[in-house]
Amino acid sequence: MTRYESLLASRYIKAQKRQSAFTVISIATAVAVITMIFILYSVCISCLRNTFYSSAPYHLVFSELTEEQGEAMADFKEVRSVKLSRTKDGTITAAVLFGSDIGDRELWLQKTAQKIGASEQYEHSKNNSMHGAYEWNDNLMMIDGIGNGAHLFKLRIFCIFFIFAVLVAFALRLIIDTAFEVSSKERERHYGVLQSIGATPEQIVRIITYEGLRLCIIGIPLGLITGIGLAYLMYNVLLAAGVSELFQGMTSAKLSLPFSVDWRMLLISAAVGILWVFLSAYGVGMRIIKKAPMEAIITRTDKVEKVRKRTLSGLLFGISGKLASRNARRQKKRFIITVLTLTVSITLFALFSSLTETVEQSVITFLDMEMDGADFYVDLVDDPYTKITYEDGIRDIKESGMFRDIGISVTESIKIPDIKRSYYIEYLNQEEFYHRFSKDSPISYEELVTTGGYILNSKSVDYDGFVEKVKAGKTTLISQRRTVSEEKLKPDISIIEYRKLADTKNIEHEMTVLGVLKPANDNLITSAAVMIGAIETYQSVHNEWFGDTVMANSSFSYVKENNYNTNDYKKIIDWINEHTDTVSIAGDNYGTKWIISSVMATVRAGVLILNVLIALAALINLLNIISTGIANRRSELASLQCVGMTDRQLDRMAIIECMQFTGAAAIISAIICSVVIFGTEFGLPALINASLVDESKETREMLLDIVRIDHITPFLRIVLASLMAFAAGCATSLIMLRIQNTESLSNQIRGSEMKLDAPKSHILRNSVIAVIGAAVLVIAGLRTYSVISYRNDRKEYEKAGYLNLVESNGFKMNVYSTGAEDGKHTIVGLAGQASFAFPVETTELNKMLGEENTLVYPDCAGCGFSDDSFKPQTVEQIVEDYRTGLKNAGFEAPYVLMAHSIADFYALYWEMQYPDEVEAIVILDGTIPPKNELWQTYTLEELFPSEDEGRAAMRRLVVRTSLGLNRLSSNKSSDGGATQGAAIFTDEQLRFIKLCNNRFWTAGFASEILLEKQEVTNMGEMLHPTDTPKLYFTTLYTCEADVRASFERMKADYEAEGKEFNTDPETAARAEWKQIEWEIEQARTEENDFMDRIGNCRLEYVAGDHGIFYAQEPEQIANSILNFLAETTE
Amino acid sequence: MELLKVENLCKVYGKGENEVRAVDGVSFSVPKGQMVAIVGASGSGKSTLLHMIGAVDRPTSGKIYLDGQDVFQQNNRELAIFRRRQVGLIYQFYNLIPVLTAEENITLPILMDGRKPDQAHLEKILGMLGLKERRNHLPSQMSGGQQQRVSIGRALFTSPQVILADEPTGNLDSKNSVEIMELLRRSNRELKQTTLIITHDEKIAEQCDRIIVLSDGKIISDEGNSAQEEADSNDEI
Repeated sequence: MTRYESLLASRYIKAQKRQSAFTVISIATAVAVITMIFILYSVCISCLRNTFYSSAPYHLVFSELTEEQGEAMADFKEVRSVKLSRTKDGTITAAVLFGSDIGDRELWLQKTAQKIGASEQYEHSKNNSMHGAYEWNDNLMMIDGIGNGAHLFKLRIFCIFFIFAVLVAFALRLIIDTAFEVSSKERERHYGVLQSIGATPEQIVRIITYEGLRLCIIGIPLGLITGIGLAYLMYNVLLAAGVSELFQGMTSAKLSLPFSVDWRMLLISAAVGILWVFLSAYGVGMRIIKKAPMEAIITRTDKVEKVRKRTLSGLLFGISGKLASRNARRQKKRFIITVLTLTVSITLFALFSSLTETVEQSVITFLDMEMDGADFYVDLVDDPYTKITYEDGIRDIKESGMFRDIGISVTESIKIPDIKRSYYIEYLNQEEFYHRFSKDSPISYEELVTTGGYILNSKSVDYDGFVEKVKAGKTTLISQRRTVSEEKLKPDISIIEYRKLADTKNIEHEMTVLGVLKPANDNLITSAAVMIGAIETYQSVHNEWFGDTVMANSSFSYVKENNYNTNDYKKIIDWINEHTDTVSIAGDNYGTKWIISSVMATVRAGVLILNVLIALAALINLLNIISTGIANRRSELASLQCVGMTDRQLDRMAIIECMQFTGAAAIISAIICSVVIFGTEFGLPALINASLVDESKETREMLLDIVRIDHITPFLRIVLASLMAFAAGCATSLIMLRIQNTESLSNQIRGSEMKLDAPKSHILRNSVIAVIGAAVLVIAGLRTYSVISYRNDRKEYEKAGYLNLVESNGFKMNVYSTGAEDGKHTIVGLAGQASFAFPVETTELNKMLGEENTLVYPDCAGCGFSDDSFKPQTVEQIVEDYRTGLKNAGFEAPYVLMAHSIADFYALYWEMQYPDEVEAIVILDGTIPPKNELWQTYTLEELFPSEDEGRAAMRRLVVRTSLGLNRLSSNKSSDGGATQGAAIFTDEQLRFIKLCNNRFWTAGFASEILLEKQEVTNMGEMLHPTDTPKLYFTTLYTCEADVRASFERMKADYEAEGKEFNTDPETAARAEWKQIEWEIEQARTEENDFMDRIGNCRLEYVAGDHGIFYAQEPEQIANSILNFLAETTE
Repeated sequence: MELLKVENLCKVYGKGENEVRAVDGVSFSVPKGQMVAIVGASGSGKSTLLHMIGAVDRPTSGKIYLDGQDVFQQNNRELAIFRRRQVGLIYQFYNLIPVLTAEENITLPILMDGRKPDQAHLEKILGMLGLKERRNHLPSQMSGGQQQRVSIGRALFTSPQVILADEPTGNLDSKNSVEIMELLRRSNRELKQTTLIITHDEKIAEQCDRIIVLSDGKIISDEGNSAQEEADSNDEI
């Protein structure tokens, strides 16, 4: 490309600032929308993955293994990580995450099982998906691309999305096309002149293309940045719309569904943008050079068209209308482009919203059908040991006042004389009976009750065999009455055991069979029982005939219909957890509907926003076209006025032109909508009926309902959208006309050359500089705000006497001290992870210990009010920092190290490295490092699905904190929950605790979290017993009462903050203890092992909560420590 | 020696009853160094004829030979190069590129070739046109006369085989008109530039060597200008 081409291109850009700006904005808009879509796609995928991961954080779970087998799983190259856990029966379960593809997963597992010697577990589970030793997490595997078929799934999703993106891209490209059309139209004459002087066609095309690409330099980055901003906005709106409900709050939702920008998406968007611009510019260039140069110069065409003497608009509106029509014909291409963009956006607007509404409604209806209408299914407990019967469960359900349509079903078994096998018999209450057999059944419930009779269930699998042997009317059947004497009863007895222990008596009865009925709904899984009776009958014969109860369950729905929100759901779940002694949940349709309705709300919001964006893009386009069209016809319009056309007539002409655009767009949209509706009314049903012949009628009808679109609403929407476009177009035209007429008519006529903006004005350059400058200012401002806020906090801390900064290794460390000046012992308090207010929390404890001892509380880098540091915060580094800080603060060894939670690592490491400096160690509920990393989950793993995400999240959090953004948004109250210790700390303590936590995510703290896994593993390997005396306080529960006490403390905290505590401590404790009792035992074993691993350690139990128990029981702890020190060191 | 030969040139617009024969079977030839005036009433086809000779418009039928070469045998690209180097077009309405300075407009054909313009030649042309103080001005900053001189400079700069001027003084006052014609005559005499000028103005036509009269697309008269020939030979002597 020669210099002159680039010279011309840049001159044109600079000379026509307004047009260039419009083109840049068009490019940026189009790129922004496509960027937003791509980014949201990748965010959706990663959120989906996170959701799958958090519900089941593994690809494969393989159980019934030995410890060696479990650990061997980690050695395979496809395996990324393994987490082992022990089950009640002593076997090991391995939760496996794969890092690379395993191909045919069954084959892989079979071979792997062979290699580790677990073939038997594999074989016996292969065909038994319910109770096998292994289970695949299909969802996570699919989205991670592990295993055959997973790639296909991801590809399918990408294709669906891609098609959608292409459609949107097409609509957006029109915007860029228009911008180029408009700007090049003005210059057609110049291109003609250039060609007549001797520019080759290629040169012309190159000039135009080059101009376009140069505008990309600003347009594309602008578009990318705007796109990211839009995506972030959408993300927040979508979360707020419904999905955050599922996570009980935005903070929790954002943690689980983080927003991240995939640079590959940015690259794709930029590439698409450049491609668009190139295609548009190139297309325009090619079109221009088709004309002979002279045609362009004199604007004459060889084509001679018939000029229509009369036009529709002319007839309706007179000369204004005629001019408008002729104008439209003259600029056919521009007219068509405008109409197209309008049509696309109007049609999308009309159809999309209708479609999502119908889909949402149909999905809910479908669920209602599939799930049989009831919200919950529960098993009713019947335990001879505790004497709880199904009636207790029913009573609880009724008394809760939260449920309606309560159906009851009790199952027993009966035999036919001389036939060995038994059959199921079911007793239903009225609700359940009518639900299954409908109110139109010939045999009514009342009959069953009054006669004490039964009906036969013709849908039962056993029906055919049974009905042969049983006659209608009176028939003789045998029931087995089982009773077990009191002494033999045990808790949690299984059915098989019960039957073995019981005395069984076979009793013959005459039972009345009233007839045969079929369940009303084909889908009901009620076909097990072959005989059905009324529950009243059961109540009267139960003891005599049956003794025990085989099975009882109930179905019911929430008392509020079609209402799915988090608060109600939480209430229900709480109720269920409190009543686990009588009721056990078997199916939760309400929860599913709740999830779906949240997701639907999000989808609705998303569609709405998309509509708005598309409308905006079309609007920008429309306004560009209209305003440039008027600007280009400046001299023409002035000529009209010179001849005598009034302002009003001109206005009318402009308005009619707008009417023509929007009218044409509206008509085409209406036609498209009609076609679509017609298609879904007739074409699609035929298709569905033809291809789904095997499916039931209900399924097909349901599918038809989904795709059915309301007949009226889309058209109303079309009218609305067209009116809005019309209004916008008219407004623009009228304003442009007014602006142009501020100049005298003769000036307007003369200046048919394109307007050149004053040279040497650098608007574009200046605005870019301004934007960058503004960004720098904002960032600097935020950083200053953050630093100043922190310094203010620190001043307050200082005023209260907590601040004492000394030099440590490359940063200033806060070393607070209290108690006796030159005490017997120097007790060094080492705070646990994220415990930034340790010295504030230990006020009471310090008072007691401090009578005769010196207490020192150093904060490591980035914690509390110590300065931040960028060095990696390994255990070694932290200990060295502590040592240096203490020495510089004037506290000489030996120390008594009092370490809380994970700080026990620092204490133990310190002692192993520098035994002379440590005379005793007190561990406050310390962290126990497992013997290898397969046995523990670490903070990072718990919060984030992958290490990379965790790292990225840490970085984000640290940047956020350094810009003070955490302080700005923390004004929102936390999502429920009370501060731990609200009931026991004084107001001043609570104030300072909050103060210390204002900073939180420092580089030092983030480094701690990132290195946690590595340091814990090192610690585990490094630990060895030493003689230094140690005292270990544990808060591990010993019995149910401890759990209850914990709930009571929580309740006190809630009440201290004026919040409602909805859980009953007693029932909650009972439920929790049942769940965790066995886990607690394991933990206790681990604890005892730990004592041996560190050597010379005694154990003491404290009733308290891990985080603050030293503030909950300061007396006990202080006394124990003093006694311990007296015994061992003095 | 024939530099330019036009053979049975036709340009027809439209079809059937709407047909317009702008140029209807025109044939003539021009020797090198001749200055020809083309006159005729409005709509007689003068501009159309000139544009076809300048290869900015294609004929419906007929041929044009420049220096022995059939002009319209070339493809579009070759035609563009042809226009760049062989022909210099001067329009009635200047048709300068508004975003380029006077100097850049003049040297544009050379720039299109990717060559650097000969500075000495440029100075000479600027001097001849009296544009030295205006060399860095945009067209919008110059008067009509100055703009026309720039477009003449553009036509002269490449020393093309033939200069085609379409009513070059149509938009100028009498003083400017005289100066412009002087320029054209000088380049014709000194640089032996073959020149074809379309004009309404009798005075201008009389300054040319030959006058061709067009009417309704046909040549109705083609005569040497004896008065001018005499004056020229007098000058030579």
